[in-house]
Amino acid sequence: MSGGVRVEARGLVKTYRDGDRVVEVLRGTDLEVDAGELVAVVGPSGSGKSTLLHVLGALDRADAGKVAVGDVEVSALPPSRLASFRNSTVGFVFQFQELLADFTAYENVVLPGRIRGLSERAVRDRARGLLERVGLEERVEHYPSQLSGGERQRVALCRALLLEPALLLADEPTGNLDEASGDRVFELLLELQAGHGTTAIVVTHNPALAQRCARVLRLEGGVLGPV
Amino acid sequence: MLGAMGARPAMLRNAFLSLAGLLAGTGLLAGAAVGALAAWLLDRFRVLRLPDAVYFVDHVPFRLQVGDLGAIVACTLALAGLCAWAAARRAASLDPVEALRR
Repeated sequence: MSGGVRVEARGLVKTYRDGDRVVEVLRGTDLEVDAGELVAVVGPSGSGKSTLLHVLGALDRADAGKVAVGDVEVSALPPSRLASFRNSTVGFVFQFQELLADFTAYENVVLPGRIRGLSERAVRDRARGLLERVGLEERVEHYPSQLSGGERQRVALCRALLLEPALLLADEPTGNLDEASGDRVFELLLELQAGHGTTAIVVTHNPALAQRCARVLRLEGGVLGPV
Repeated sequence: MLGAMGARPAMLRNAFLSLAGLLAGTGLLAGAAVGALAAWLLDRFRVLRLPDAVYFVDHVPFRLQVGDLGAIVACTLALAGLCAWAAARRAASLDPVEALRR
């Protein structure tokens, strides 16, 4: 898949139980992101930014409300189709990369292709091309433990973009990096997103990075609004 | 993480079972081979000596019984399979969001 998709969420409600307490994280959250748009979501810790990304990316279900990604109403998909939807449409980047420690950088990047059932040959060139584009051509055979935090995050970015997802969801992609590495990773994310026209929603605590996105939204009190 | 990338529960279960099968199979083959070789060497060279005036034999004999070996292999395979199945079932049923929070 290439190019982005329109993302629309209406009236999302998500609550958690914390002992006897019910925490309402999303309270009728609405969101509209145009195809190919890059949107930053900011907000205080615990405001539900990650939860929102998980719901948009079909990793989690809202208690109420609708999510549509392109023509697919994600909130109506049966559980059996969620995994294939994620594989075909969504690329995730997480704060702590979540790379597989026993796999090399290259092997981590080609994983989504293997999950889709593609041969290594089918994704080899694209994986190597992505790693080269983020400056890791010399680190292809290195294991995550042999890479710096910034390099690991670049690998995670390549992995997320391997199958040219229509939607890229990044949860604090620079949150665990020093300023220089964080800037570099974010710059690459912007470059790759613009290059593919991927729709991207980025959660960040960093106001300077958020300002580099086309639009910035703030999630507070379970509701999204412009900054 | 594999679940977040779109791996279906069946795929996760199979991955765990395959890995467990590989590990258990390798361990079992290596263990059986080393055990059989050790038994043969210990018997052939009479390594464990005994005072024959007390025991009527001058060494501890080792006899490799195919039935015993088969029973050990079968029990080990059954135990490994049971543990692998439990781990694979747990991995396959794990919610990706829960796994990411840990």
